Amino acid sequence: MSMFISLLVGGLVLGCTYGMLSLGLSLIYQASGFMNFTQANLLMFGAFVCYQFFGVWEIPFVISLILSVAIMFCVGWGIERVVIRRLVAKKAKNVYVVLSTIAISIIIENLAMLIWNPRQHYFPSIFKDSSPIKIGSASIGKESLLCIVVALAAMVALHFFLNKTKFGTAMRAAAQNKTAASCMGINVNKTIGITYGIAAALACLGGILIAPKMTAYYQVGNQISMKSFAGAVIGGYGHIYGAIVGAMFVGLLETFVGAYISSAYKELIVYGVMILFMIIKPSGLFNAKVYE
Amino acid sequence: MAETILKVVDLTINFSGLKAVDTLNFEIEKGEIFGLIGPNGAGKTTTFNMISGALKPTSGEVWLNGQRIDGNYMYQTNKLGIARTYQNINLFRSMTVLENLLVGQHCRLHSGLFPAIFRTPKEKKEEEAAVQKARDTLEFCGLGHKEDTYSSSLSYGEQRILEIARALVSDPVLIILDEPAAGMNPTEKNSLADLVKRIRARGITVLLVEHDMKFVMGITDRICVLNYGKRLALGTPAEVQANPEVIEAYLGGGD
Amino acid sequence: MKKNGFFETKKGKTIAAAVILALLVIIPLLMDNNIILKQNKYFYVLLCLIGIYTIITSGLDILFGYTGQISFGHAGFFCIGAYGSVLLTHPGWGLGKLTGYVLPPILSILLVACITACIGALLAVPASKLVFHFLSMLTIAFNQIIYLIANNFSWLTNGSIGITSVPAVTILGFSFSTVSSKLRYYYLVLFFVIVLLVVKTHIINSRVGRGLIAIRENPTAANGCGINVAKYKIMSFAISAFYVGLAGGLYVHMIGFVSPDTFIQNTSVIFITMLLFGGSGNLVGPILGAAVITFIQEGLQSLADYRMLIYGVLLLIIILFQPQGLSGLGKTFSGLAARGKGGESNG
Repeated sequence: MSMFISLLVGGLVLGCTYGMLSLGLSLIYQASGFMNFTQANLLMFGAFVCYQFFGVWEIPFVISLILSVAIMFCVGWGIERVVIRRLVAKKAKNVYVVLSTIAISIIIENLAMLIWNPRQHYFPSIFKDSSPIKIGSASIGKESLLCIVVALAAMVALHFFLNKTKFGTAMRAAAQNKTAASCMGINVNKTIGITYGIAAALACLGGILIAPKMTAYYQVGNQISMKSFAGAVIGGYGHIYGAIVGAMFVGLLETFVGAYISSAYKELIVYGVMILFMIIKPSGLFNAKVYE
Repeated sequence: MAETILKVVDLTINFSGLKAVDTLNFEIEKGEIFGLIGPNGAGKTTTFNMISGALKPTSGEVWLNGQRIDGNYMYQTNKLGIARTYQNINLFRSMTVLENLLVGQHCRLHSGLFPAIFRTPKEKKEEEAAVQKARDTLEFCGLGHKEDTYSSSLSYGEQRILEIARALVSDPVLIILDEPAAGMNPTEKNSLADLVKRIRARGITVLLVEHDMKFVMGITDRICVLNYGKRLALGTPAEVQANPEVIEAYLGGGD
Repeated sequence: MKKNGFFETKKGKTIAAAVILALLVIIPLLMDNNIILKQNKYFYVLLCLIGIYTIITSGLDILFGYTGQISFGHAGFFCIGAYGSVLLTHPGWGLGKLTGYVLPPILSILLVACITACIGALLAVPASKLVFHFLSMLTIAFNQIIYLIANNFSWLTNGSIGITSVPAVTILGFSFSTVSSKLRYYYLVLFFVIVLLVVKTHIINSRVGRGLIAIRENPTAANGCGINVAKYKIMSFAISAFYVGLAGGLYVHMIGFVSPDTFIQNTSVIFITMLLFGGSGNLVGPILGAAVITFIQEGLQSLADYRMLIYGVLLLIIILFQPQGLSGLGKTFSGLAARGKGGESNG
């Protein structure tokens, strides 16, 4: 039982991390209709930025977190502003936009490797007293709990942001119909740019929260990239709540398969499930609208 | 009574609850020029799309020469003898005019992958014949002097003609023209009308949608008027023009 | 815009091709007589690699440049080709381990290329129905799965350690062992490059090729012109996979060693970089891309850490500023790019 609980928590922590990525993928897809392959490497980069502030310069954790999330927001916004918007303005084919995100992803990954060298870095523990919390016979790390709590809080905050604020409404309007939205005086370019920023900020948050559990390593992005996509596909690509549920499912599936079957097969099984969804139910669990 | 070539029976399609085309019925006789008109959003292009196989009707049937064709894919319908043009021009833009017409013959040619790789004599012969046929068709449509031009650099009117040529080259029994005169100047419209008549003279039945009333009334034998997805009237141009319901739909609606 | 220029005429093309071919045959032969270069066996490896990458990028070009379908998983096909040929020819692994019999390498290269084509077709069955953005994901997942199989199924592939001493190619007793002479292997690769490039041109300039280009240009109109779009996409995937699978076989019998690391996701990206850098949708683009990127790669040996970064930057620059690649640059004076992308920027 205690093993089950710790696996459950481990799966949820992974799920939350993937969820932050899937959420960003879905947001961007909704707002601009494009896929974005930079997301996972933004997570890795965000974790490294925070490591620099918190681990190297020893700035208090909360300030480091806010600083890195802000920086990553700008990075995401900058990517849209400098690359994506240019390509869209040139009426480039979708393929080229996707390729450009892959190119950026490679650049980010290798920049991280050059800045922080290819070694694995140990992210210092966030809490001074790092003794785990006991629930029954199972003990759960405080960082795991923090990860789940912050991720859930971020998701709820995003929900309110999209549904209750004026800007959120503008974003949703721009996502549904760009022409109509710009006729209503919404600056569509700006909303898309901010969407990329939010997605990058979410990725960064996810990266910081998982970093104490995984060690910061420049290839982390590659390892989790496809799984966040799997989460988004299973939930329904472009569906915000679907992304979260799908990512949780992937996190749990991966953890339990790894524990009970074989860790050699866990990724194969996750990809297999994703491919099955693509073929049999491309709209995912939440019946997302799939664009041509 | 002439032989029926295309029969549309109770054709209906729903777009998320909205009936874009509602129990539509009409028959087209072999060798006639049949017009489909109606105000914007009346379901003309949707009807075309269902006949040509781009859309699957919710219910109803489409028969071509006694063979049921609704629910086919476009490429199957094309092989059975229906060729079409598009309202928003769909050319192969980085191909030359001649190459566009070679693609147009796709369903009438047979060489597969391996004859292509080994350049068999049969394949070569077929290709030569195809080029000749494409040239003849271009000549027929008045684009003979443009065969090596990239289709994207043709004028708007020429692009519309090229679409017709591309449809024509597949030896259709029925050709569907979706707003062929859109964006053309009066001279171009006249030569288009002439071309449509010459196509009919080849024994090919023509079904067309057009907004230009003068153009439609001038060349069609019969017209079907659609309004809100339903058939409003059917008859010769003169009958249709005299029909009070049609006048109401067009003028009363403030079109 | 009309086609013109000497090199766009049939005669001009034939002459240009003959001259280039003669140079490719003679120059290495002359170099083999040069004492200094003869010592430097690595030069031939480089030429062979360029040939192999040319086959890969040409295959990718059929899929991407002509049919307009993207694959981020061609390293997966490359992997199948390489491991497949090892497993059929190596006495200690796969077929050799199970039955004691092995196939002659040249036969297994061709056979595995056919198998790869079948796998490509199988992958394309769902891919042909997928909307574009799922296609890129599916191909990445495919690449990952193939890599994971190569890396994790130790009983089949010896896991991450890889398999060494892969047998050399022998045709009718004539050995193409790369230990004794790399020049011979160069001619073997050159032979395949030429055959496959001719096949590519024949396919492109046929009814089938027109069908593929039509799909790239306008899938709706292609469908309306009687082209079975799904079938042609599957065919394109299969042809493309055939090329890459064959290249995998040639690669592994040259290097004599195979390990999963060669086939990571980045390799697929490098293939795409090569293709885009050279220019897609024509004959010379893939060759140029393969050659230039291979030389860059070798030139950057000392900067190995920066290699992927440079690819990334290069790819981004091409996408942003020169989507037609090198061959697009030289288009005005190199008519060899005859069936390029017309006046369209960005395809």
